[in-house]
Amino acid sequence: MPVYPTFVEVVANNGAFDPLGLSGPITLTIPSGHAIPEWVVGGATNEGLVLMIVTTPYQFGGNLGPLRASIVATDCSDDAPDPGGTGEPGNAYLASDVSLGYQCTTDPGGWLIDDASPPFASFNNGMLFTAISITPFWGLPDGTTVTINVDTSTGPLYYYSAYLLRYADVGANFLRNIAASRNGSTALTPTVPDCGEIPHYDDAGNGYGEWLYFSAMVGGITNDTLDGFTSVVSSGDSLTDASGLWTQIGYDAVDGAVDSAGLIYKIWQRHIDGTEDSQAMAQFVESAFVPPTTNDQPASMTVGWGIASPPQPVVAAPVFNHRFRAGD
Amino acid sequence: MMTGGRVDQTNEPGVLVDLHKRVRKLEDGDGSWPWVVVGTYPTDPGTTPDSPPFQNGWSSVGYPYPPVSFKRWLNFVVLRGAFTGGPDNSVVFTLPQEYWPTDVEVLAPGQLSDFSGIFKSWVNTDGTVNYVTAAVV
Repeated sequence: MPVYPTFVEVVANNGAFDPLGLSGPITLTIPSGHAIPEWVVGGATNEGLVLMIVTTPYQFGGNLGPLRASIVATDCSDDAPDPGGTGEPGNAYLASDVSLGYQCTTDPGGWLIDDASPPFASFNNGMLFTAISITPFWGLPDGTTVTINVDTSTGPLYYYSAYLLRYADVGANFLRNIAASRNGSTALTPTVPDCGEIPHYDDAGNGYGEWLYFSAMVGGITNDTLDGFTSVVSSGDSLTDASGLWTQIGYDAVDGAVDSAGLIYKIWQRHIDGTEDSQAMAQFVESAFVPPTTNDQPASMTVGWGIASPPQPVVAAPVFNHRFRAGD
Repeated sequence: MMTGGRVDQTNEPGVLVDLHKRVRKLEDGDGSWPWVVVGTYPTDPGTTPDSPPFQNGWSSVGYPYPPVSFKRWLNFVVLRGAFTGGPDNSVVFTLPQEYWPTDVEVLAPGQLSDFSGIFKSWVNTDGTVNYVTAAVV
């Protein structure tokens, strides 16, 4: 049995694989013991949440309608610190739209993400993935629910499955440590530790494998881009030429010019086919980094990675649901 | 004179759904003829020594659908499960003799798992469960 990385864990999965299509919001709840701690810019214990939705495009040619999501906090009155200095109370901050500011809501209809063109990525097996970054500046307590609504105006969403992934950083404080010597022209190359054995879907190497994904988040900056991987090094055959095979599935950018707490968030992933002993290291590069200019603008880069299994592919299979009279 | 029984009398569609669920519950709860999973014993999940194997390359789709399986309940044979992999006009599997119909049973059109169409199938008096073809509707 392969050993899964501990940097990323699935804290919630709606368990749905609904052939009848989406008929209502998906609600994921952060279970007891999985609270997300306060995200401290420049801190060493940052964690993040990634909402990943897996679905199939076959009913509507790969075009998915607007995707909406919200965090419905169980308690909006907590007195968590306010590192952003906005004076806004609340538990959650979603990095998709800076105009939304720091919000906490108990209203499931108050969507905090309303993306008309969600960055779905399609792969040759017909599966679609998307991801929404959820950056809990103030942390998310146990029992916090994340509600997702998919606008089905362009077609129903069949066979969806939603995951709420939590990752712990492996590179916090990275930018802060190098900020003094960096002026935006030098590529950063944080290296993710070896993945170890990468599990796969089945021993025959068939099927849909696992998805190895990396995510990177930069916070506390005034201007930045994350350009992606420059290379992925592997001891196994399947990852050695991975640089051109990674697919970006999520991207959010919040310019921190207003509040000095901007965030850049990206997720890349690729399909892993049946290679048991692959080891991967990733090098990120970001090209337009403007380092903090004051002490209250600390910077941090958080890099997470993990492996997730998609649900089984959809097939148009005949289904017995019959009765007939037996002989005597 | 009133008796201890109860009569459900309503026109609401939900009652029919409930009735279907009740029938399913009765079928599942009847242990005299347990569900038999089709497949190769013991390698295929859920199979038992009396499981008939798939034929002609067919196999169960598996999760989230139940494996292809059958059971006898009262005087009926119940078939369920999604299957894949075989050609048109071929035998999917063969029922044991105690499940054979007296006459050829042309089964009602069945649904494909993605609701994109229907398929035709029939059961011969020798127990062969035959898949004919599917059609988009």
